[in-house]
Amino acid sequence: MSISFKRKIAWAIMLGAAGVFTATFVHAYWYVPEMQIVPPEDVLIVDVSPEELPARIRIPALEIDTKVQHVTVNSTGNMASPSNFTDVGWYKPGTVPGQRGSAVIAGHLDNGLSLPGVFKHLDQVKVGDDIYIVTEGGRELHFRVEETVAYPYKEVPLERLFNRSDKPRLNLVTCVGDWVKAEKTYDQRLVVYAVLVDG
Amino acid sequence: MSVKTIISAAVLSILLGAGAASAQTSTTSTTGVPDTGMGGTAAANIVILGSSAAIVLAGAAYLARRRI
Repeated sequence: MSISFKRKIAWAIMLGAAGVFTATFVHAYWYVPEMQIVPPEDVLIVDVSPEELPARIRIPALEIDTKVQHVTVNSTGNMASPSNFTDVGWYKPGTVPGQRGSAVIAGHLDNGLSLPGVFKHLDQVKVGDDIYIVTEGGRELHFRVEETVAYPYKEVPLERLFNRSDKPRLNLVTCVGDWVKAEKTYDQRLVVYAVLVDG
Repeated sequence: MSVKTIISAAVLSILLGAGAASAQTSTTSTTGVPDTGMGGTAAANIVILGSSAAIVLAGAAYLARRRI
């Protein structure tokens, strides 16, 4: 085999390995691409002014102040998660924060290198803590935590979580518990239930 | 084709396959609630990162030696 051919093979292997390194690093550390689909027809999307939609969330007790992405559902029919580990995702086909019913916002516990996600310390939030949603129009909605509950991930009360007829609420969701290797997910979901107090 | 070349090609294929498998971790059987954690894939990701980095370094060293 000629030296030139060996060099070409070495270059190919090196570039391939560099590609694998880059793709793995980006996926694990920074970006979580998840295909989102148009919600089923029976999911109501409230027609509200774009200025009423959530833009940021603040949780002073956890020193969180971050962007709110608008997410729909993923290819498995579940609520999609935000596309990175620092933003949160608001379930757009559900309740708009401040309106009747429960608005749902999810954030990551950790990334693919086990480094903290935006809701890493959500389990430290206490009843009575404040949560603020800033709308696209700059209005601030003030919610107060009423309850925090960790459920087995297959037993989350979805009717309560995504309630559409209760008073204006905000429910925050993240993963907790142990990793289930076969399912590639954590075995519990922590839900923080908050209610609108001002805004 | 030398044994070395065949082994290198095999290692590359394994790494590429592992990368693709890692990229599919978002799927779940959970109904309704989102997947908001990936920490359980950390060990596999670290192995892939370490292996691919080692291959890049070894390749760079090989090419640098050949150039001299």
